[in-house]
Amino acid sequence: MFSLFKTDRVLAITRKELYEGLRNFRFPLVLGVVAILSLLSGLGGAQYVTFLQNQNGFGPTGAASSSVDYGALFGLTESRGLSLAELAILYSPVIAILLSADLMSKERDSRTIVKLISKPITRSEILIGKSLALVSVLVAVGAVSPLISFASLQASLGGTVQGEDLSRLGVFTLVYILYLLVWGMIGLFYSNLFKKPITSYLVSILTFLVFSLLWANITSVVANSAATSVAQLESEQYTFRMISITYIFSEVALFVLNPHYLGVNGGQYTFDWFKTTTLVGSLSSVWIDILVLAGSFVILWVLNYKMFGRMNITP
Amino acid sequence: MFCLIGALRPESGAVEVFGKDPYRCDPEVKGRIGFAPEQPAFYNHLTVQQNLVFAGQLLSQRAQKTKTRVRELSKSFAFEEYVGRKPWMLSHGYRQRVAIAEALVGDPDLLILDEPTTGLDPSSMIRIRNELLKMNKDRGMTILISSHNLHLLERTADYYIFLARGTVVASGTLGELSEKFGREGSVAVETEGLSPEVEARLSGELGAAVRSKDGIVTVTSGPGTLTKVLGLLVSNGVIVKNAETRKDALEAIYVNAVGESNAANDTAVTGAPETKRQV
Repeated sequence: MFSLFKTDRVLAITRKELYEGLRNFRFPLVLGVVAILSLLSGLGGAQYVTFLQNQNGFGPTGAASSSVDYGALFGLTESRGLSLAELAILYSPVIAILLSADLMSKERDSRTIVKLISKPITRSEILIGKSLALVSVLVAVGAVSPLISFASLQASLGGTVQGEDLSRLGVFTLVYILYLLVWGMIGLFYSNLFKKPITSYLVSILTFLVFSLLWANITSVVANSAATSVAQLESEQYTFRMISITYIFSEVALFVLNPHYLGVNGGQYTFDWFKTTTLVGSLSSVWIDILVLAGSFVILWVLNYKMFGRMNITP
Repeated sequence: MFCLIGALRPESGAVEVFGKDPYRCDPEVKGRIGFAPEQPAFYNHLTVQQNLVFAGQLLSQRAQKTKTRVRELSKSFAFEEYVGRKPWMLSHGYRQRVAIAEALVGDPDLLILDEPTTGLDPSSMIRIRNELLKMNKDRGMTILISSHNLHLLERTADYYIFLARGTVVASGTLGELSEKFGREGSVAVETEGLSPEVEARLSGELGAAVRSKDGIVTVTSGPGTLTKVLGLLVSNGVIVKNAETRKDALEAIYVNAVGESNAANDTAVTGAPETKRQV
């Protein structure tokens, strides 16, 4: 593998991309917006905990434990306002698309790709260099967001979050980064497919709208037309929904961040306030989802590699 | 051109540069090629200097060597004062100079230029032409120019390939092409006292095309024309003030080779100055 590319040439491309991102304020802007939203998310979570504690406990009235599930605060079920998971699900694709959808198309549009191709650098080195720049920024976004959210929560509550909640947040962060990378690869795919950056941006955004925001409605219509019973409807809705990586990631976020989610049965999530499961137990419910996300990333990168490798660069 | 740099795969046949397929992106082969496209393209967030340094990085060149080379090239192509500017701030002529300099950062064995003088002002054109000739002479660099500018090619190239609609219609040195497609040259004589009768005799006796304007007679004919023309003019009492033989210009050869109808269509001429290194 290492004989496939020369590090100095790959890093020259990576540096150029990062420098360009910094110069046109794209990276600072994205990181700034993510930081502010994450901060608000953490502070909102802390406010919610304080409110619940003043109301005599966390969870439903009469719940066995009055302890706070801090992991759940970052998830989709417990927070008021924008939680970290909601932030990740809704805003991450836009961020990843913004950073990736013109990576190749801008070079073709400005004809600088001809300059690169004529130099002693292989196409795989060009793609690896650009991917490396993209991955490093997305990893920074993926790591900074939970870190800020967690830090602001900790600071507000006086450093009470610890133990398994912290592990859950750590695992969520890793899957969040993976989710960002998959969307990054989708953006890169469109930037390979289209010559004009505006086209690759628009198609990427359209993909996000369909598979993230409209997907629930689309799958409902499809499932309604095919199902003969309520149970079948729920099962089919679930199956169709899980075609979208947004819903796959949502499921991971549900289980990893909230220990009261115990499993999936017939398209229905088993949730119990009075029972909890360990992080390993939560992961056993979603390991296939994580595998699908990782597989999607690898497949999309290979697809991009093949596409760019066989692309004819026309004047 | 795009096949030579590995951007396009040929639809038929094969392309080899230094014995290898450029599409396979062998860095060793690509390292010996410099390419400047017709429309110069730069990273506009980088300065001219940074664009050239980036080219050096892609060549895996040491930073110090690149800096020295950039200094040399900016001096040769006279854009020293603009190295700190963004490329979009430069005129087309200077952008073209920088593009050629960028192709030369790695001191290539083969320089490929696509329409290097399109839209250039005379001073840029002369500067580029002189630098190309100098590099060819001093460094033995092979230069392949694709151009419609026959005047530039006539003054720089040693070997020509005429293309018409994607097909090679003729190739060779100017002498070889002249022999094959030339019309045997012409004679121009500046005279005094040339009468229409003598002009008619020239045409009749030599069997050649005769044009006369402002006392200058141009006769297009075969070998030995000059002697015959001078003999006839002097014997008829015409004063000869000056006389010269003219070889066919590249343009005439090109028109003859490609054909007037094709010349108006999609045609190109490629010229390569003397090859000192094997390509």
